[in-house]
Amino acid sequence: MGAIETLTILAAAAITLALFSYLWRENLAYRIAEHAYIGAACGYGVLVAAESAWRLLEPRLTQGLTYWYLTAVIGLLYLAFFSRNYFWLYRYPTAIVLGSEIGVTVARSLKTQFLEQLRMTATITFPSPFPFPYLNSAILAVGVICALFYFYATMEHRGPLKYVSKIGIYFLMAAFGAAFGSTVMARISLLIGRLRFMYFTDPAYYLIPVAIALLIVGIVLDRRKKPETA
Amino acid sequence: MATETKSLYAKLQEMDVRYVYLLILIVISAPVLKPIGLPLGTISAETMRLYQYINNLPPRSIIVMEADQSPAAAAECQPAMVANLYHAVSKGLRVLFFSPRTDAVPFVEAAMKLVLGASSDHPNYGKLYVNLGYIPQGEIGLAGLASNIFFTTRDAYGNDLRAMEFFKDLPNKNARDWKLIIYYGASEADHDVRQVTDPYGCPTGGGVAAVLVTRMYPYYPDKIIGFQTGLRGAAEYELLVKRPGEAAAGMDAQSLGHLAIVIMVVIGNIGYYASRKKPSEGE
Repeated sequence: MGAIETLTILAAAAITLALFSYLWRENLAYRIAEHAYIGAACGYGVLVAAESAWRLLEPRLTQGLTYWYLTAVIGLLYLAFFSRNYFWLYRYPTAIVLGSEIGVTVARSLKTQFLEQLRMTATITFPSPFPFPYLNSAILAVGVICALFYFYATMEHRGPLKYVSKIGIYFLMAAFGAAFGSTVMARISLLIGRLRFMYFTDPAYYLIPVAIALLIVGIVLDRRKKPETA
Repeated sequence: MATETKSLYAKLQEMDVRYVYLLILIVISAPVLKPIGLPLGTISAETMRLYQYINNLPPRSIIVMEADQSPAAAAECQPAMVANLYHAVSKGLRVLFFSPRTDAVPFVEAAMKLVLGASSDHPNYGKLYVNLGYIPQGEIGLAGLASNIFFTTRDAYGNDLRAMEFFKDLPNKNARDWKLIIYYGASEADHDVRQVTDPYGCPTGGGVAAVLVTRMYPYYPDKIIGFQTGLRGAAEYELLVKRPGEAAAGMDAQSLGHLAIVIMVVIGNIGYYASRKKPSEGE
């Protein structure tokens, strides 16, 4: 393993531990790691974006399509954001990007996320356990109707309608619960990924005892400070 | 002087939250260091459908791998990408990579090196595998790529796409030539459905962070033909292709971590209801 690779792994391990140190409390190491991460990510992102823009532009320019220079000029207008006098120029690239994004997205969203969703909801049949072949489809139908009714505010939810609305909120809560469970799974996966890196990557694991020692020193210093501040 | 005695529930509610962090760290670290081999259970239908779809594709079919995983989502999505790539390589499929976000670019390179042993210097690069690198502007970039495969003109390493064998026999030179686009990430797979599946008929698959999974179901199984849910889905796919890797190794920790959290949620709820039922002073 070369020196650069060793240093890279050590830096990754040190930044990982520094970021995890926030769980104890906010501290200088966490702040440094946080700012270093944001700075590095930003610098890397700018470099990749610029390289990619040039990769798109350069072949067209070499073909003599000089009007493509216009795209670079429009892109550079983003820098007007930093000028008080020329800030208005910044609005042009923003408008072009937002306008094209909306143009590309909206028309197809209507079909994909509205009309097609209606069709799918009405026609889909989920496999259900024996002996109830339509159980899941029935649950889907009840859930959709009741959850939609929960947001129907034109009529007061009284009498039997109150129960429809209540069933709707139960379905919504079940959906949120599933989303929460998935989020927990996602976060645990991140932790597992980092722990596997720390435990099994040479020489990252040498920093674990160092971090534990620093944590103990920090806790002891905290304990000593507390009686003075009390 | 009367000493105030607190109930166990009250003590639990006032407990320093850092003990919970420590408990989670121990519970997850133990199986990472010494796996206990908990069974994974049955393979989910979502993962199985994706596996079967890829498995039934004829050799040299094109699948597109869209790497949208941030470093934060990579722990879940990268094992799925690696398992899918391994499957595609073993079936002799053509794989086209691209990244709609800058910080996902290194993950494509890492997956290629892990599965193929090389990236641009692989002998089949340009024939079976092409990495387009970062394509800016998210959905607009995807729409451009889907409408014209030579939209970027060059790959991530500066090679001319038109000179590559990969693209020579494609009749349409757009997303109609693709057999599958697989989304890896935690943002949204909706744009694949909008820009690729609906207009060109190429189905979408996924190796998504678990947090995104509830947004996949509205399109499953018609437009999104199957997907891997987080680390668990990736572990299932690894087992299907008989190549246990990062995801399968992490599943013990995942299961025990969930178990610990479920126990804490149950204890917390019992404590909450117990403290609500307790009559206040003077009653």
